[in-house]
Amino acid sequence: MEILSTVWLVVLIVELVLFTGLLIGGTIFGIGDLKKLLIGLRLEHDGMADDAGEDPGGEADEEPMAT
Amino acid sequence: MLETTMDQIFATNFTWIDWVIVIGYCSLSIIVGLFANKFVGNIADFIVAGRGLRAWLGLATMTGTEIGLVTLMYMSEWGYNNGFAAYYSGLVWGVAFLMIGGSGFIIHKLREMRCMTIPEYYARRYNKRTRIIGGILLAFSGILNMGLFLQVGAKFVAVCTGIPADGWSLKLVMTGMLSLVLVYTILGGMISVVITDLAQFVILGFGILIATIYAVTKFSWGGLVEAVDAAHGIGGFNPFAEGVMGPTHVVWQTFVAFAACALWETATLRALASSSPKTAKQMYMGSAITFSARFILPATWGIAALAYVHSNPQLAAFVAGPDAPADMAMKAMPLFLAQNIPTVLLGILAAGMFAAFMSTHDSYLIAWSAVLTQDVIGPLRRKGLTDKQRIWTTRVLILVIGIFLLVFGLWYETEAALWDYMAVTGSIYFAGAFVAIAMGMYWRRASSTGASMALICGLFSVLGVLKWEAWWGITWITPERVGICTVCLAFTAMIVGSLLFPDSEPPKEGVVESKRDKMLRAELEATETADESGIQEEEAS
Repeated sequence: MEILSTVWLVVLIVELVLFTGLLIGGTIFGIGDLKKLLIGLRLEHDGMADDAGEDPGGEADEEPMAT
Repeated sequence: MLETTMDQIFATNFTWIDWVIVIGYCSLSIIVGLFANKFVGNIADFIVAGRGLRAWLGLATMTGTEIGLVTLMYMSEWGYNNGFAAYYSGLVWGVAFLMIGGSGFIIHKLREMRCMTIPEYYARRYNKRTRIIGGILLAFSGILNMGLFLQVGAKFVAVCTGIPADGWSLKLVMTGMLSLVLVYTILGGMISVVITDLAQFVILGFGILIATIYAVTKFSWGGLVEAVDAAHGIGGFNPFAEGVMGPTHVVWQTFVAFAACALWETATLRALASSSPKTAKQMYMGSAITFSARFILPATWGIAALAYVHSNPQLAAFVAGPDAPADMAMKAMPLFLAQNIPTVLLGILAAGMFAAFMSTHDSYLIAWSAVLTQDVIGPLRRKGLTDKQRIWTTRVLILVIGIFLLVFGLWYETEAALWDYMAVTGSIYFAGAFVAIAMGMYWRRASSTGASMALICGLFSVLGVLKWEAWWGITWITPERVGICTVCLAFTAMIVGSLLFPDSEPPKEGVVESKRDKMLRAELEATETADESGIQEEEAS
């Protein structure tokens, strides 16, 4: 039981460290990604995507949309 | 006298300052959702945010969606009932996401095919009939799965804030919260979901960290171990020990983890909304942290709640007595937080929990309504639907599902542990879908009849929700045994159906090529090119 409780303690510590890293990374880079997404969508709606030579989704989107 | 005792036992530190924090946060979410409405141009914007999600944003929204208030409640209930043994599920889910993200199993192909929903795959690999069957089953399973979200959320709010659970005030608060989610989801679709999810990710993430660190430091690790040992013995540490969980439970949960992380629509929707198949894989790899955290961290709160009950003689006597509510294991965690976390910090934590409630509801609402629009109503209409009609149909369905949740959440009470209910209702869909999709991609002979039969077999999982022991005194039929049998049945149905009723034409797309297939195709193309150039040379000479 002692071994198992030590294993679970290590698991908890590792999880806390990783989750903190994810939280910080997600907050900082997530905001940057959100800005890019909204700018892309705005450009697409304004019909400026082609002129700017930028793909709003970050990937070529020429195929017809599947429905 | 009894009421006075109940008031003392369920006393809370939640005050008007905490309400101000919570209401302020909820109002901000609504403003953000309204702002997102102007970015919705077509159905792809509404359902998959224009397929523009990059890895970090996708990861944040996936975390916001998949760590819901209901998740925190059922995992703390698991921690309370099973001790540290509950941690194993976090490891299983983490490994499942790492393996699926690393290999791209199913998700890479789905994103490559530019599907917007999972049943869309059925149409392209099999036929329209399979898509409609898959769409109905997925939506049925998903809506049933989220049927208890509101009820469970209400339990948290009641214990945490001190609102009486049996009065109208709690129902009004929950209706108000659901209405907030409905407004911003109906208006802004996936785009408002992504924006609000990012904010909710930050708030709930910090809330979870605060609560976990507080839970461990309050009792120390040794104190938690002692409490679990006293309550559960070795079963509280070893998930394979019979009595609490056992090997059957572990096998079933491992299947649920792998199937759900590859195919659960709300998670897969993030992969389908990602900017490329590579980003989808990165997102899944990162989500391994999220999915292990969503089990391990709240389970720690449940263990701390167990230690809290044991350390408080009045509370321990109440829990052991006849007046204790049947769902005490679920209420123990919010009770522990409400009586120990100080005012203001409790408000921030509650805002985090409300954020978790909203971020899960919004994504689930959009996922199931999108499936019904794209995979059931759209294909059933001969003339099809225009983009505008699709957006409006999805909006109406979001509202209808919201009303259903209110009604269902108010009257249905499950006797099964909450997580078992979630796993069983989810498996109505993914027991069949896992077979239909995995074999569709990796077995050329898989036919539409076999896939339809496998999908329908998933319905057998409903048997796991029935109260066998309470109604008929049958103890050997358990949710996990029903689940494992359903998966075996679906596999058998797929193989028998495909061999007996093969499709008249080979699959046009949706099959993953093996290395040998790729080499053969490359050789064939090279031979054809050489032949063509030979003919051209002959003609020229």
